[in-house]
Amino acid sequence: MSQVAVSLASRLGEFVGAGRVLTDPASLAAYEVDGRRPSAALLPGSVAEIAEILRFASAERLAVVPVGGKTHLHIGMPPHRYDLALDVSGMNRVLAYEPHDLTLGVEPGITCAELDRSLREKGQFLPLSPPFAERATLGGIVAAAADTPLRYAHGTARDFLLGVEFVTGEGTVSKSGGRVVKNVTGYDLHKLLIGSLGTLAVITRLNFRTFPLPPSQKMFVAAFTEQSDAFAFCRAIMESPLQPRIVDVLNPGAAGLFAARDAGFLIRGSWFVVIEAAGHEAVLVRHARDLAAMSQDAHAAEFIALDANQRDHLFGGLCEFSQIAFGATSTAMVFRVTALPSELCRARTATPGTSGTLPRRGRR
Amino acid sequence: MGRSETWRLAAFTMRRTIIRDLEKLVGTSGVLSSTEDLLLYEYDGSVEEARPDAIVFPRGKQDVVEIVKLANRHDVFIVGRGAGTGLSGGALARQGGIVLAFSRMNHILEIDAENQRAVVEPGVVNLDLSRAAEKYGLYFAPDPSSQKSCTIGGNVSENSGGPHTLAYGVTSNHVTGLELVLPDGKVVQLGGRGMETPGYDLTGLVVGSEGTFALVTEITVRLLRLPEDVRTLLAIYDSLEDATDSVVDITARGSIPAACEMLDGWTLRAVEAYVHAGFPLDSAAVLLMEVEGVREAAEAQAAEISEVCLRHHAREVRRARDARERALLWKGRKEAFGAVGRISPSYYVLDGVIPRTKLTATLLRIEEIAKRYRFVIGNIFHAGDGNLHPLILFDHRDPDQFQRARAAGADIMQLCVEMGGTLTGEHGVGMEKNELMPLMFNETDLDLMRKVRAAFNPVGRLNPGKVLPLGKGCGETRLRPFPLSASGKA
Repeated sequence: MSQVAVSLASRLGEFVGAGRVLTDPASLAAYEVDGRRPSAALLPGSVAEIAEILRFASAERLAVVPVGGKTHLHIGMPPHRYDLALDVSGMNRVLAYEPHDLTLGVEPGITCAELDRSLREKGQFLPLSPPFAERATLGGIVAAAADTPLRYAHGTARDFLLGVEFVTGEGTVSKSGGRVVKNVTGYDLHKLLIGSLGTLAVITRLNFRTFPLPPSQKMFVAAFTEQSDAFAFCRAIMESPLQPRIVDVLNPGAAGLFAARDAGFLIRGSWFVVIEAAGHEAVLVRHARDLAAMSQDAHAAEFIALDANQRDHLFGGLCEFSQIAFGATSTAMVFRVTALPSELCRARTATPGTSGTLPRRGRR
Repeated sequence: MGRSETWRLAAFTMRRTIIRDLEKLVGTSGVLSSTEDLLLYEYDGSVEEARPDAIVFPRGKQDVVEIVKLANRHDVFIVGRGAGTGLSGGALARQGGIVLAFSRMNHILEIDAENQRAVVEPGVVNLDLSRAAEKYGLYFAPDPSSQKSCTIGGNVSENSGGPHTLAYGVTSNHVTGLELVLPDGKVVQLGGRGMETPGYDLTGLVVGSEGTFALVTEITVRLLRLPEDVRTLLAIYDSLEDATDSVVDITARGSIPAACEMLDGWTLRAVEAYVHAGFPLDSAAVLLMEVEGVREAAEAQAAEISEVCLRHHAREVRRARDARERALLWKGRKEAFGAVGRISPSYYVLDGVIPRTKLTATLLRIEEIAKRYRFVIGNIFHAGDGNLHPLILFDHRDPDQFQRARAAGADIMQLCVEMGGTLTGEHGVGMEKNELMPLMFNETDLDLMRKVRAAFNPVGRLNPGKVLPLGKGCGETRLRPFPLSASGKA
């Protein structure tokens, strides 16, 4: 370790304790962003520590990258400078959870999977099911605006993030929004943080609105030979009174990836539309009937209702599509293209060399 | 001639010049400046008042740009205004200046039915958009009580809500793109038609900025599909607590209703006398609820909600049998303020949010505040999301009563914050609550908000004196007021 690195490490140790400053190459390798490696990684345990670190970094003109579960560090445009990794994954407590008010406050380092388990105990959920859910942290996926199959019904974080506490680059602790489900007090600075990739502030607390789990749900898959038929089916769903919670499309390449991971109910080589309905039994029956008829009108080769195991397997696959793609080939690249329903067909065909695409219908 | 007379004369000449310049831009019919006209723009739906120096009606984006440039040349304030139905003084020219009224920019530019989007000018009336979208089976979800007259530009400024925001969210959840004129006259496009665009979500930031960032000249909104079926229910209670317990139980279930409104005993009696919606006069509270969706969902939810209400000792749960009965029940809700207006010379509508589990405790405390200040305070509100609207009845002609009403209002706001809630759920901060902001935000939070505002509105040209507390301004008080304000107050 160079002399400079040693003195930096000891300075940083003053803020978080010596045991929570990483400077050895083996540990720092995990924090690399496209070949750029920080001089140190810090594991703060409190908002006050984060503020101190950022005040120090600001005074010393050090570039800091906030880090959570490290699942979105490689999405492109690496930072020009990268001196310190600020790893908040140790700040992973639930700070406030009021199931009857449907509100939740968490630290940024809690993983999506962990949070999902605690919410499920109370019959609730947060409509964020990003890839790498076991590792991905709430702070990280909000900062990365990660995607989820449930956006068709629930929208994006913007629609249920109630407020945020954060530390600015100068080390000032600040907040916006609130903790109740409806609030227009002051400027919505927290909306700026969604998708900001840690360029504006380090998120230290997130307040969400939670949602009750539906009484029951049913997932359906319609298989098509022609792409145009699959999209026509999607349009018919959008124009119907039906209110599914998921409408995702798998192209033959994506379906191949799913089939390879033992989703035997998907036949290799054709287009699939995955729909999930939720609600009371009568609602599911209605969706089953109408969707079957609509898929037939759109020349579906097959329309099937999944059992609970198949459903969980496919839902997991839809959430973890990136992970499946990366698992299939080391050279996989995942692109995210936002397009309007009328442009979806075109957007897909204009993307060269894609083997699997998973158009996710945006919120209506 | 004394020094002050010289100044007055110079200011008078200056004012004439500004008005003449405005008239050159938009024609004499596009500018109002007589005292009686200015009086009409001294008010909005709040208890605040502030007189502007001129009102100008732009016909399009280019007019807005030219008016902004003119205001810069003459160094005067600009305040955007829609229909003036706002409840926090957002559209009032607090420090005088030009009110830029968008009522002539009221064109629906496009309905993109395939993508469920509409592009509108800011002066389009909220309900007019839903009416125009109806033939495609679509509608615009935010539904403030003033939706027959309020404009979408105003909804964007205030981030307005309404009864159905319980299920569908407030205005910001429905705006995907904006065109802005910044206070220096530059035109900026934010967002688009998609649900997200690369980069920072400036669209989300500008919605709800209460006209302090920019003037909005074009809005792209989401349209939702009209539900196949709607069921409206009225649950009648002998105890307020049973009603609030029902609310908590209903909203914690798998299917959240589209709307869940409450009227307390005093309010429902006032409304019944006017609207004759069939609210029993001896009840302690009623819940007005709506469920919608596919027929089977509406049916199942209506049954479930009835059962929950009865379990919480509702005396009776009525279901509207047809569109007429449904409209009547909603008339009882949407025209409640009108009903109160018959009883009291003035009323002060508050807007605060609390966690819904604290409804009963909060309503009891509001009752105490009412006694302490010797007022009747009625409660009619969006119970499902804990958004209270206490109505303080007072006589504005009595200055003491007005002062007491404001003090009682501030106490209620403080109570909402103590309960873990917020100062406003949908009416905005405006000039009503800007001095209450420190109840929720510390000086550091407010300073950051000032910096963000200054990034858009650096010299405080737009809508001064709103949202943030006065007295520590980033350019907030740097500008001089419109010369020789007609009100003499500026």
